[in-house]
Amino acid sequence: MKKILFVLAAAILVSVSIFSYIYFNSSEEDQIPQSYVFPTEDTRSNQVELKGKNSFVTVRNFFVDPLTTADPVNDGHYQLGTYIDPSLSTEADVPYYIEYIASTQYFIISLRREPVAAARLEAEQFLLKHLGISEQDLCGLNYMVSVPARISVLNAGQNLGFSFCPDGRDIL
Amino acid sequence: MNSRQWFFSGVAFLLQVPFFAYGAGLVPCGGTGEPACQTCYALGLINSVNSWLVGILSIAAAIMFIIAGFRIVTAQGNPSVLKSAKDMITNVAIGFMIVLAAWLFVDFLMKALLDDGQSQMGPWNTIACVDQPTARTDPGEVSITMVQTTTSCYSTDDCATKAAECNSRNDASSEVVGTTGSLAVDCSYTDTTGRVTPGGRGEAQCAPENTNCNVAFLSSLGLTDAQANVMSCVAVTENSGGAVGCSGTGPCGTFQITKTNWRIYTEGSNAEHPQCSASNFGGDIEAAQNNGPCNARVMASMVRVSGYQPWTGAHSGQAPWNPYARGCVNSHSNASDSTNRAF
Repeated sequence: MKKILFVLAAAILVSVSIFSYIYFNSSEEDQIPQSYVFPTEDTRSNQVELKGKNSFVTVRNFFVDPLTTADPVNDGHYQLGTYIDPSLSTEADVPYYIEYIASTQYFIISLRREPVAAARLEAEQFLLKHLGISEQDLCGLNYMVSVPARISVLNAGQNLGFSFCPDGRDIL
Repeated sequence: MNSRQWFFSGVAFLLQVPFFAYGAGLVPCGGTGEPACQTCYALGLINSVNSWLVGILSIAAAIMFIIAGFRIVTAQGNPSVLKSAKDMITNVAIGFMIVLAAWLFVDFLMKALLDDGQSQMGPWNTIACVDQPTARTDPGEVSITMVQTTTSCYSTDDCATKAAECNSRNDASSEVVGTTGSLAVDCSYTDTTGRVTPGGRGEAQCAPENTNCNVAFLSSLGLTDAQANVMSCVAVTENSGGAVGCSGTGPCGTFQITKTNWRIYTEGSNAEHPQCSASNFGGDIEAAQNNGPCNARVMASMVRVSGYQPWTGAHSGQAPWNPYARGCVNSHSNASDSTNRAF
């Protein structure tokens, strides 16, 4: 009898927890629950949801894209598109470097070649294609586009944004 | 011993093993190289203890199952031993189910409690506390200002192109300076575009989501508020706030720290950050430099010792290494900042 009670109590506890979990999550579908980060390193599904500036953005699962490389010296960081080997002293000549920080779902887009405007265009085209989203959705992600001073003194020190976004800046 | 005694004996035994008794990491804040503590981390602690206990008990349960199985196999038909082993399996299964149910229940409760708009609950049972934003949020001055810049160029054609770029600006004048192999275009123009003036207030900083260089993370390394704000801005100008990248054969990482400086702070018996030495990265110094947390730690030590000079300085008579770093100091430092500001 005691065992049956134990099993019953555990089963009820599990059921209540699962039911409540599903109920509370489904009731917040239209909101942006800022306290929740979706699992973004899932390699099984075709799409993943990223927390954007104002809403969630569904993108193609870029973790299964061969052009996504886990950063070997920074856990949870990924390089998208081009790859700069962190163990080499001479940086590869790439037009851009995109770092994705999984824990905060943040994209760092660093332009690494003059002319900077062309490099930004390449990075934009890559992200649009490989994330499979519209320009508007791309603008809604959390990101910064900038250029190191060693590449372009004229354009460094600011978030250049994407060219088609409202906060995009002209490149000099 | 009955099965309950076996179970608790197993747990007690496991707790003697250093690996299982190891409690470091349960409190994920306040230590060296860790973010400053906030309320969210208290819940993180509870969650860590919860997960740790579940891990221990899972292993204990697995061992109990093995013991029970072994007793069944070696019972040789003895009904009392068989019954005792079966009871053991039943009790362990029930106990383990309760543990998992409790885990799920706590997980649910914490998801509900943590909906404060600041903390993040990860998949299943992980909690990620988000750094509280302390960076300045004002947009900075937008002004009409005379701007002077110096841009390296590499050939006559390249210099001509960059000079033409400069001349297309308002009230612009440009001049190619230097000698072959070290050419640059000095450019001055009036900025009337309404954009934030380069070198003026409002220089971009790493966003709170950028864990390489956000202000809260840098503060947690022991930098003052002013230093953290300045260096978060410098990170954007040095490597766009990214973790990886070397310029030439020397400086690498978020703050583009040279190998000479890296060795000073990571190698030798008095080094502040021996965990960041090349030997801990397979002997590869670039891999060590490109590790985000290590790069930030070495940067923090350099700021404490040398101020901002490693980023804002220049070789005698030459253009500053990074004119925007000077802009960062002008933008984000203040009168109470006693850091060495000499250029």
